[in-house]
Amino acid sequence: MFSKVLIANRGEIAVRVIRACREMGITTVAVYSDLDRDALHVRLADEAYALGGQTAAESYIDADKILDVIKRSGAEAVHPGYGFFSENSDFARRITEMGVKFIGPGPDAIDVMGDKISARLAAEKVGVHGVPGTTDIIENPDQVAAFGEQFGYPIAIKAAYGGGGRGMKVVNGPDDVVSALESAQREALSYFGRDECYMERYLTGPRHVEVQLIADSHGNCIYVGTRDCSAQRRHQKLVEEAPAAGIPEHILKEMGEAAVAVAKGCDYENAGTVEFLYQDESFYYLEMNTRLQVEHPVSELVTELDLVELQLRVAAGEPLPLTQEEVEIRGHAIEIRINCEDVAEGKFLPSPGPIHTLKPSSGYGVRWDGGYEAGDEISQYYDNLAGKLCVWGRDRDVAIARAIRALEETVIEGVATTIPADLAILRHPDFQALKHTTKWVEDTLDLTGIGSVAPSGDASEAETKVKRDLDVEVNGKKFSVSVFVPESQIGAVGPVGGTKARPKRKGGAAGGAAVAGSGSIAVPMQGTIVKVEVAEGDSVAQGDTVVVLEAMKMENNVAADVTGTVKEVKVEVGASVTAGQVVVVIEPAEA
Amino acid sequence: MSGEQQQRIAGARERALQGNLANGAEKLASQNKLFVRDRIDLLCDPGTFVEDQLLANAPYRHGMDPDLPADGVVTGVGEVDGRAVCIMANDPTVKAGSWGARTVEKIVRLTETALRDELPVVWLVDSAGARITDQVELFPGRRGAGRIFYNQVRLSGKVPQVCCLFGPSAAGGAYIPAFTDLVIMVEGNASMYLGSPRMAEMVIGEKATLEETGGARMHATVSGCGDNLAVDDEDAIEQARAYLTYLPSRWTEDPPRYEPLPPARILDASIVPEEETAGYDMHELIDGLIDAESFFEIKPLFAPELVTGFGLLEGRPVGIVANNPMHRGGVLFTDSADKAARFIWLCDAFNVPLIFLADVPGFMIGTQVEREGIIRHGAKMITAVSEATVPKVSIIVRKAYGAGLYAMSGPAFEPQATLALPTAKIAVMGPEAAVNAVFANKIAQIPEGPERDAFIDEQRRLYEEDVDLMRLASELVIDGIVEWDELRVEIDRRLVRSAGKDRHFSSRRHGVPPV
Repeated sequence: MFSKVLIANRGEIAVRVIRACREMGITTVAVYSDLDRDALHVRLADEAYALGGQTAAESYIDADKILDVIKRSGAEAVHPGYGFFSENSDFARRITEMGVKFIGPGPDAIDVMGDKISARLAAEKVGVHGVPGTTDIIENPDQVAAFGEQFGYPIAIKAAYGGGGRGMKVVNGPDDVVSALESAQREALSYFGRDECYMERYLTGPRHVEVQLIADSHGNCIYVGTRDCSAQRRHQKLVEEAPAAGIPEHILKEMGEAAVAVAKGCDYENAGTVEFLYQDESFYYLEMNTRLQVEHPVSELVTELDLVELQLRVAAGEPLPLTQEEVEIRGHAIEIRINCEDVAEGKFLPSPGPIHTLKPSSGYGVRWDGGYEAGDEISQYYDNLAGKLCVWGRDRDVAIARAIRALEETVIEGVATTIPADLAILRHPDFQALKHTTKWVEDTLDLTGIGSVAPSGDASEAETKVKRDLDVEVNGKKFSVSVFVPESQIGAVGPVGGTKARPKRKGGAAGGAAVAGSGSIAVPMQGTIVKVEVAEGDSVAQGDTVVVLEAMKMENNVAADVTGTVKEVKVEVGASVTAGQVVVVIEPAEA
Repeated sequence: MSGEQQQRIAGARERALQGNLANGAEKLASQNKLFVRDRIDLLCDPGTFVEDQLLANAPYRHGMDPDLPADGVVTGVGEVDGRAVCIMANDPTVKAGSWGARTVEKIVRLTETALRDELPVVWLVDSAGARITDQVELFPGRRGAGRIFYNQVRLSGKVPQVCCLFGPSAAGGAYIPAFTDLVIMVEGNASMYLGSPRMAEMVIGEKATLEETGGARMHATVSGCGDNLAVDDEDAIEQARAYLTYLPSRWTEDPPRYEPLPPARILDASIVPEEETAGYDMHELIDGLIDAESFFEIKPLFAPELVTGFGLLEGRPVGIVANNPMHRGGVLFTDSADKAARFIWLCDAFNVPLIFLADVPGFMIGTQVEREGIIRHGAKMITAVSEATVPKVSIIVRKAYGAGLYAMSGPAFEPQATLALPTAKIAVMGPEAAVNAVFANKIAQIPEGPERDAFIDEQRRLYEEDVDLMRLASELVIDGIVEWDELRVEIDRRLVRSAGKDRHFSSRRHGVPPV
């Protein structure tokens, strides 16, 4: 087993991994950005190293900085948590080359599963299929009708260059084919400037069901039950459960075996999750997540396994301590993600700021996985997950009742949280009757009138000095000292009187959809060309700089207004040009 | 009252509320347009709309045309975020939203309501123009369409007026948007023109598409007659509602206040590139200055070298006028001066304090802009800056050269303060230009080579010394040099403490401003 592990993450997942390490007697190394100097994961770790910077890019995902800390601390392995480097094969390769173990799958498996197309092919190779569909551009309505004949209706026609559901049309039967295709193409053209469309089987009400896997380096791979994460909003999961309820036993087994087949097909090692869409006793492969997931605690609660411990063991080369037959599912578990977001009127707007009060619930069957304590600050620069409330009950009804009870007891002040929305989900008859699908939160759940938990300020107190544990940083390494400081210096500004909450509106930056231009690139003002960035025959993308113009002692990047090939460059460095003069001509790429 | 009469009235009301949806629903859907009453529902707080003259043109005897319900326009007063606003909404299902005699009378009356009660006006425009059959009743007279425009001009600056343009706004009708403060156009559907392409082809022999003649994107990028683009009806209405949150209901009131939020990013020197000639996006500075997610940009696609828009500073609305070196070097052009002047007038009318963020090499020079009248356009911007008596703060971010300093409310223009960031330079012109201008003959006399370069470098050094920022602070030209992390607080405190400012400017009828 490793003696020292670096946790390349922050927040609750870093805390989760540190706790598992401590239970196993492994020394932990935390890393932190400037803003996380006093974060909980830093306080709990045995050693902590500063990365500097504020944004994730400047700190937690700056590979050079992490590599430097690995060297300085002498860590033997790195746990990436989720997000950040967890699915970054380049990082995994770099640390592996240093002789440091990446606690996760091998870089090749990350690569295969990281690309939509190769992931789909890898699954199909072992006989696991996604939602039927084709990525070919539809040429005529007959193709749609033939597809419907083979795979059934409804069918979704989607814009090839689209996204966000815009330009998608649903075909309910053979009679709709012609009009739906025309209308999808017309919409695609008006939204995206391109009318190409493709099709796939449209699932009217799928559930999101996933399988937790763990594999060792000796060729053993087991599935540790299923989870249902259908309660999601814009692909953000809100409430997760284990096991996926209301699905026949033999289908759960088929899903588990399909997931294992996918993992074995790419020589998978360590923990991973295979996600499926489930509807009408059929399941369709969605993707494989090559990391430990946020919702892993629900699988732990129903199996009594510690997935992080297993991750560490298999990473250290130990064989899995149990077989598939020994995995037993007991009772039902629910996880509620508590994000710092203002859910008022269903908008889910980030609500960063200091947490004044944080009292997680406890009692029978309740587990709190948090990354913060009262006094900590939720930063706008990172994920705003304050913590996860997980409950276990002997069946689903008991678990739901317990989750509601625990959520009602949970007190978080200073920031708005998603608790009101979580409660609305748990209390809804559709959720309780298992009638919810992945579209349910957005389409059916009514969040109007659900107010935000108003961020309440500190009550002002007498100017007393309070003991604060302060950490000092020497040479980028952290030490703890205790000092007394006036409370006012750590308190936050109270609410301002006479103001009201701003009606949340999207800004007026609306420039409409980006529109491709003609390819005749003209300079916007009189001046001198100081740089020509392209040559005839070069491929350019819309927005790429083609020439740099200097005027009034300022440089101006003149950009391509369309994607295509450079047909003509009409100027050279030093040329004087007038406003509106065409300097480069681009042949737009074939539509 | 007889049951029959009751039924007759109920029937007429029901019919009027339906518009001509029975025949027009399909067309609306195909154009991705919303029915006029759905537009009003989206705009107003639920259940607050009170309608006037719903029964206009209700057929009370045989022989009357039953298909002109409400005469194609819905007028009344509703509430937006709890505040009353007058609403005019054309109904394109009724003769393409065209104006008849009653339509014009209803609109005139709505403007009279707005004048009498000092209420903001939201114009939901979707109209093919005047019905030629009704022209004598609606065009020339005292209460003809001209009265609408006359009243709009009287309303201007008294109450906010915002226009959502969902469809055409043709000929005379095109003036309704023109007299409002903000025009939001739905791309693909909205258009504005005096003469249609067909008429232009007949009269002047020009062939052009509707989009080229008066399309939304053309107006938002080239003519400046449109301000912001919207992707659909809902987006347009949402933007109108957002816009109104920054303004008071009338000129005698202060804008509303909201709960403060910290900015979306940290303000530091990394925003400005070290290389003096390099561009950067001034939006980054704005994001670090104002409350998170509070920026409402106006005319984002028109003259982008100057950014104008509303934001909240510690919950209080402010107007931002900022040069953007990302586009055309942040140089001021005729269009940017136009855009700035209009926005400054808007803020001054409705008591929204102004923050100027200057990084400007000056006004553009050369034959092209001289022919466009850059002098009078620049003078117009400086007029607006001078006349604006609302509290102003002028921040010199990197440079303010020449008349750019004046246009960005420099020390002579009565700002609360002119503050410089440590990166700032203030001068008549940049060092290179200055040395070349002053020593042109001398430089020419020295042979090209190290000797000439040394001379230029020395003069440049002397010039920079002459306009040293420390000197400008020492000699009280500017009111202070502030660090990046102090900027937000410095501006906020100065604006908050200016609440008692005397807004009188000059006694006269009105100025004769350059335009």
